Amino acid sequence: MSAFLKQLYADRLAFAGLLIVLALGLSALLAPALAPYPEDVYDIHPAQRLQPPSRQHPFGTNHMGADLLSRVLFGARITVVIATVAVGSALLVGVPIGLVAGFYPGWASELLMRLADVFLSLPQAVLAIAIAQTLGPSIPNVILALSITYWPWFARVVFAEVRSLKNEVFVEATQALGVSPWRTLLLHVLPNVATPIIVRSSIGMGYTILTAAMLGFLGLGAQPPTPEWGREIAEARQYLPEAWWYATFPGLAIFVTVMGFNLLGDGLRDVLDPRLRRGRP
Amino acid sequence: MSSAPPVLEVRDLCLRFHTDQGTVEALDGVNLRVLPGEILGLVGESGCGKTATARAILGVVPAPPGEITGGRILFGGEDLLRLPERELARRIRGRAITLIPQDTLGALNPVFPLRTQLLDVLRWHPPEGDGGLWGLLRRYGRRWRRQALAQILALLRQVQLPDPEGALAKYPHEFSGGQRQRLLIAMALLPNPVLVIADEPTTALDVTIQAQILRLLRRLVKERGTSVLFITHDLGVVARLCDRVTVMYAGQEVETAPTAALFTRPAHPYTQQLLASLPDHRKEELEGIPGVVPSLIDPPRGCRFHTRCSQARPECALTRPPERLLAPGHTVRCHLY
Amino acid sequence: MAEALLRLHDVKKYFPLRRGWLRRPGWLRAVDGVSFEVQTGEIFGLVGESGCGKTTLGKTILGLYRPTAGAITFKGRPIHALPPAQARALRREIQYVYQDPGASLDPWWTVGRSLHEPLVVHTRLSRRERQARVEEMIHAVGLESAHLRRYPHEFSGGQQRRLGLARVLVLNPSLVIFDEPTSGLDVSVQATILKLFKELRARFRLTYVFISHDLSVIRLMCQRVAVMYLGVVVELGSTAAIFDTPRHPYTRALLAAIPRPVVAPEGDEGPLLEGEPPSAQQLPGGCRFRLRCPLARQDPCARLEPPLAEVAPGHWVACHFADTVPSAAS
Repeated sequence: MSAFLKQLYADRLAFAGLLIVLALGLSALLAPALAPYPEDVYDIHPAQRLQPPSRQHPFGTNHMGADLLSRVLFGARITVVIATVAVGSALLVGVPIGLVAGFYPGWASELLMRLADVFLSLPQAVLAIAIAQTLGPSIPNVILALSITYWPWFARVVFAEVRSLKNEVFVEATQALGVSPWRTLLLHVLPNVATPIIVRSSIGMGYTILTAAMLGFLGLGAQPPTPEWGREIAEARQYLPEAWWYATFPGLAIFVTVMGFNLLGDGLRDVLDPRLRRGRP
Repeated sequence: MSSAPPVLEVRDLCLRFHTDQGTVEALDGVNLRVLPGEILGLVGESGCGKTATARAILGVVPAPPGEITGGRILFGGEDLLRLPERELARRIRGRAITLIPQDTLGALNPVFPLRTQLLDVLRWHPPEGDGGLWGLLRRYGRRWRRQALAQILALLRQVQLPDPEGALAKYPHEFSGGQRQRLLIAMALLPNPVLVIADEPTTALDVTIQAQILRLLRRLVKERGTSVLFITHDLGVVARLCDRVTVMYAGQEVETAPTAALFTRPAHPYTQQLLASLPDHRKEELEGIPGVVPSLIDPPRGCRFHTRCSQARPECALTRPPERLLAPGHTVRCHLY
Repeated sequence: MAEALLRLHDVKKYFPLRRGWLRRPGWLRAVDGVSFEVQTGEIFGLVGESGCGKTTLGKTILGLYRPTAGAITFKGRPIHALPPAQARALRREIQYVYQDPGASLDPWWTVGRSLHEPLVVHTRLSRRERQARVEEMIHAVGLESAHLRRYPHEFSGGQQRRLGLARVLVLNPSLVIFDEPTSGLDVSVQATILKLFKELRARFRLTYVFISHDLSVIRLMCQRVAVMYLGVVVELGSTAAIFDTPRHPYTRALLAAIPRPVVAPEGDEGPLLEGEPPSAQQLPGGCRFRLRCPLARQDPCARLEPPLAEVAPGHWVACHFADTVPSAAS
């Protein structure tokens, strides 16, 4: 584990990604304690509307007079929940499908993978918009839309990996020893595809956050007064360019978070690459 | 024959690799000579430095991590180690010294048909001398191409590739392993080299195909008078093909002898034990060599075999034995002699 | 005579050739009607060049492939069409050692965990009992308990062979199939490994099937040998019969092609085969070997596939000219 962190540390960009992701997690967890005005998520102060950044309000205030820093911090909570639940359920659906379809070739597996291909062929954003529109704007529906559009990525990645692993001698050797296929699948195949799953998850978190923000921006996600980042930017539009801070800080939050997950994902790919690990001396 | 000056002479070649684990002393004073028109076998087990020696001769040791720390490689009166890379590439590698590799598929470019690849060999390494830029331009002309193709076809017939004309339009994967090895032999002989280095060229082949290839190779190089440095771990192949043999162990050469003498009167304890390890149904018990090949990061001093040698003496751990002449052409490096 | 441990009767294994969707232009006849018996306690050699079907046959015996036709009996019991659970249970008795045992171990698992696995799957031994058995085996193959905590890539080629053997022996099988057990090993290591194989066979009363292309190893190790060419057995007999009085022209050519560490006079290499074996997808009619055979004639070779016939007690040859071939010793 320490060797793993050391290697990650050596890759400066990946380490920066890790720090960003940790910071996101911390702000989500500690938002009530970190936010200077936690009550501003629901309270309105018309007297202080659209104030530029100042000592009292480092990020300024919005058109309702609420403190933007507090809202951005609480927004991290929503973002983390959306992304984690969406990617988590996509994992739960996509990984088993990929595993089984890759391990047991046949018409059923073929059908599942073609289904995944259909989902992949539609632009993710368009599909998510359609789903969210149909089901009505709410955070659970956003999560649903995101998981429905994201599971095929996991299924595809895992399917491809399992397919090539099946040709590895050690997988056939477990069969030769009389190990049951399920045991082989769970104890030998799954750990060997863990790396691409982890990498895909990290990058997927970034994508999901971006799509969630887009849905929020289009008014298909969280409803006011929920401090969701995408929605904040949508509201800030009418006050541009005078109230530049209103759109800037939620936008920066999205940008930094997505970049953090992508950097981390790329770094993990290098660090966890089994070819480097298994390399013979 | 032994009076003629050698085509290639490697003297006290030392090669290191700098790795994370430490410095690997891959070659420690290797000596060998290839005489005109002979096939010299370079034999040893994995990790003994046979391939590293070949790479050093061809000037393709990756540096870093490799570093040639001493010795000379004399070829045609020149020390190849002192020749600038440009000269090596222009006159020596692929021209005067060519290689028959082991990996037949990896050695050919999968996206070009055979015709293109064989013409390129002649285009960039013409046997008659390259003639500079004008020469190169001329070699893109139609007349040169016709001549070159005739030359290529003649050689493909000599290596007994079935349907040589049709073969020219094919891609590498369309040939079997044995056919590809024939192709690579043709490719290596195409620039009419002085020396061919063959690096385990038949290891991946079936025995019946191997026998064909070995017979073919021997006949061709003998006809042309080309010298061959044949690298192998298979003593049976050596017996069938080579005129003389140099045995290597852990980065040093230990014995050099005419092939027949090596099999009938092996002198070095390592050679003796290597021969005793060969499967022989007439013997009740097989004898392996006790112990393992030492790590070359901190190799044993003196004779590197002394850690596994049953006849080792105190001086074996101190100094490397000098070369002793046992019989004409038969030299050994062992303190027992 | 005692019941054979393993009996194959006309075993065939064909693989469908697919080109594009659903089109099946034909079959690859990897194993095409092989019959032989393996007696308890013997080392039976299966020899041939690449593509002759020897590995496919080994995996069919093990049950990794289901034979297209034919019957395989083990200890008198048919095993070629067992339901999956029973086929898996049978692997306790029949084990397979891969050509590259290093690659047959999960790279993410320690060697110890990999050695435990067969016992976890097939027995109800406690952890401590398993550990005792695993340590017994790791010592039997000449390694140490400390090696159990390492990963497969930390072992040398010779050590990996030992590991592969330890892994199949923990179950105490009665039949072990070796697929190219010495390929890629240096001769000095090969010698010690072969010695180990012999010791363990005596100690654990094992029966071996040795699949190899290396005739000198086969000659050294085996009591009886079957020579395969393009999916069929062309000659079967005691090691002495095969090597001293080979009757099939292919066997003779194969023996002549072995590079021997003896210097022969120039040009005296014996008969060498011309050409390369045809593809198993497009076999010639009649005798499969006729295109490379020095004895082949239009009739009967191109017309009839020669059956495996007994030419001397225990010595079977599939050649129309088996009787006329001079049985000169090599």
